[in-house]
Amino acid sequence: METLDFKKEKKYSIIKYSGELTLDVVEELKEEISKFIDECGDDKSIVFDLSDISFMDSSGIGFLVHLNNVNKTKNKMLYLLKPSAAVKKTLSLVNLLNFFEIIEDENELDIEIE
Amino acid sequence: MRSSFVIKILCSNKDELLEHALKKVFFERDSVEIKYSEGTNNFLEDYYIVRPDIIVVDSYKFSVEVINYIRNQANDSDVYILVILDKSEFELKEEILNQGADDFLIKPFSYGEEEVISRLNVAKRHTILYKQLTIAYNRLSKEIETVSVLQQKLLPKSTVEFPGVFIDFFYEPSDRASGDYFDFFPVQENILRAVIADVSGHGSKAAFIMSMVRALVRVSNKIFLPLDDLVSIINNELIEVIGEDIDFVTLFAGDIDVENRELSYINAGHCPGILVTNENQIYLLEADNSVLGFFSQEFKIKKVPIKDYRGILLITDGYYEWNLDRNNIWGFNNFKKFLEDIFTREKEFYLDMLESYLNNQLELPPMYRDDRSALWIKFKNNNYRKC
Repeated sequence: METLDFKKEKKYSIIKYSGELTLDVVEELKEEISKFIDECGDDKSIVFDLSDISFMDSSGIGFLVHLNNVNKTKNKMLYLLKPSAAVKKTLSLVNLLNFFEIIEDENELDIEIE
Repeated sequence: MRSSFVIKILCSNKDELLEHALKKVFFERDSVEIKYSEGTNNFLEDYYIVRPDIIVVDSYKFSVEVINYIRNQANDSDVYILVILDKSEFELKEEILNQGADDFLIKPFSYGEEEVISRLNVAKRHTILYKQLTIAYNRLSKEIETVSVLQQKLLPKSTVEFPGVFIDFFYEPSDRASGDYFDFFPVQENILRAVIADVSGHGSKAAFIMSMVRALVRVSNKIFLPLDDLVSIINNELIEVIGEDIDFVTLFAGDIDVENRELSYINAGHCPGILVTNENQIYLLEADNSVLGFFSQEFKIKKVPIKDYRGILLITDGYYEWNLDRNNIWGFNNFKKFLEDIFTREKEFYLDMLESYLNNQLELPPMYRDDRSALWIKFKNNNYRKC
């Protein structure tokens, strides 16, 4: 079952989505996450935990790029945390893996995010 | 508000109070038809003649019979069923709702005609809303159908004769309008251009973007454009149109030079082009560029000699992105192994053959979730001769 959680830390805010990241959910996610990002203030980095994504389709890819662009325009950084094998494989197939800032270990979040 | 549709009502009994209430509720409509069935024996026959939007049915026993038939035998979940129970049947009101009734009234009507009118007003509002939704759905459906018909006209209808190659294609949309595109046409006397693209998402939005990509690709059928220029133009146009939205396009474009036995290509985020050697080994032409529509990129043409190859297969990801079970996707690697097996077994390869293998040789038939397009371009061994 899909779940969406938000958590605010001192230096960053974490979004965690579990389930399939597909056309069926991206419009709703876009709305929910945009609201959360607006609430996060100007100086926050956004961490998107993708460790529990079982499948991602082309709309999911589009959503991640969109999220990255939205953060950039708001002078925020988007980090993908522990992307699952399904996410990595899909991003790699479309040659977008290097487009994102990826953090593999949540213990590194405090070090990586200044 | 007056509507153009007719509301048809079928009642199991003629009751003076009900008749009066019906007239009051529907008095402003000239488009209402009310039929009172003559006895319970004729009711189901009348149901098929009238095809009612609202049914008013009397007594628990007969109502259960009617509801069971309509909901389970006739599979009609749309008709609104209002049941009139006798005071002695009061305790059965929950049961009648669970059976499939939409509302109930208890006779004698304790609040008189006003109670009957208010319940009939509920039925009326429900029916009008349902009819309006049906009309809106049908209108949308028709529009998507039109888009789909138009879109299919943008795809090749037949193969082209081109010296040195044999071309086969396959297309299967998952929705009525899709985001897949493929094409092939000569760009020079000895060069065949083959393109396959996939717009993210489905439906009319994807179809609209697909038609835009097709129009840009087709320019190079009239005026020769090198692949890098063509893909660059498409990317820039898409950035302008799609902007910050979540849509994008993956595209593989290749020029097959049959005289010099060479393939030039650009893969922009599309699934790998599949080159098959004469020894039935697979060589993948993976994406060197990223998807189109998000950001500016420099596109570099790659070249591969094709004299030792049997052909090239271009596909969209719908072929392999489907669930084996709840947690596992079949995936490209399995598709690649599957293909290697077919190429090893079969001397000749056609896309209908691939379809047949997919439907019959896997443990379970694939449950596709996306559009599927494929282009198979077989390289003939005979030497190309200029006319």
